[in-house]
Amino acid sequence: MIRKVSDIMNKDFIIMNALDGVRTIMNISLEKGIGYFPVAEEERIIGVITYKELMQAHPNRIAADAITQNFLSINTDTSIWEAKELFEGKNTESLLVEKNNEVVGLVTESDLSIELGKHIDLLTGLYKSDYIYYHIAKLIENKSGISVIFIDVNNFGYIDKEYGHICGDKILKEIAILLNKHKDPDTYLCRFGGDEYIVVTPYHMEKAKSMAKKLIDIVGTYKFHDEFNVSISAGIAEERIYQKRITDIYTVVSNLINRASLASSRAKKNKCEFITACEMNIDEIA
Amino acid sequence: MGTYKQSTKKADINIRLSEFEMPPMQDVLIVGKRAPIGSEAARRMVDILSPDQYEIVKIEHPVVEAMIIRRGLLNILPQDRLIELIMEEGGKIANESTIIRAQINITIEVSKSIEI
Repeated sequence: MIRKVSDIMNKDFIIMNALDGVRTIMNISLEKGIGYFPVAEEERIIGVITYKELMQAHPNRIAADAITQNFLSINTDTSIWEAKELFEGKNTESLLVEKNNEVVGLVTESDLSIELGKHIDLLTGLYKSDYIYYHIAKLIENKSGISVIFIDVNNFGYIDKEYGHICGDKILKEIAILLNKHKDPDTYLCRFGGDEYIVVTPYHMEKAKSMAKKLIDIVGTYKFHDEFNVSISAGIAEERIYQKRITDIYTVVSNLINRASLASSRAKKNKCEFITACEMNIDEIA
Repeated sequence: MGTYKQSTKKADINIRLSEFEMPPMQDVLIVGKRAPIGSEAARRMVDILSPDQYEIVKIEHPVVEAMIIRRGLLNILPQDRLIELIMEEGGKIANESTIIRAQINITIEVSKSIEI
């Protein structure tokens, strides 16, 4: 499931008045251990004060003179990935989370960084699957072309058993670097599971096939440490959403990944480089 | 040790009376970024004491947050030019924690010749 800001937002906040003094707010902050203060004037939020602003402002100032106005309002259903894009693209410092026009929480960049850290795979440094779910859902919502390339390392179990897990981990790391370096800039990569990676593309099948081929060739010809021969297989699934009315995006996303995963297993089994989901029997997909 | 035989207490009182300036500022205030009174507080003060007479101009400067300028001055000189002139001197002595009060006298001399 895609994590939402409502899962990570800080609910401990007090709305202060624009004319409240910084000294008063500081005292409340110390007394109650609260570090987030939306500031309102005539029932409208005009800014936000966090610890940072409290530390910087002169204690005699009024709240209106200590606020940061770099904030945006979002709703509780906003995903953490969309929040990340807002922090990056809009130069905002705080996100006010609203429900029915009422502030119910607050998210700062540091809150979000802590959460995003949990979605980074420690071995490869790639994001985990939640990141990919978000980008597939976004492409579907934007009615963009979308193909998913599911990548599996061939005979990885054998590598682990024959040469040890440390060796296997090094290979996974090197593959992650290669995929990240050579994937197209408008595509999204994650480590999906053990020896599985996913690349989400805004492409139709033909272009996705060509990119999968490129990645397979790069990994296949790369000189891994200890001169291992490592190869990958890929399964590709495309979603055509133009004519469809989608009621449950999560189901569509899950089905798409599943189709690509099954195609990848089939490619591995058949010892071919890649296979597309449309080449499979409907019984295999179901 | 000696002992006090007599002690006296005396209070001297000086009173200085002067007219309270309304508002308690002159033509321009230069507000530092960490001054005790910020531009919003100053705006509220002048809006209450002298409505519509002052303009708050937030500026991009390393230590100065804003300037509060008497509107009458802006009728004589363009805002950008006036700020540039004030900051040329005021910017040198301003720091983050100060509020500097400036008095600006502008004299315009006009000389015209007409044919007679």
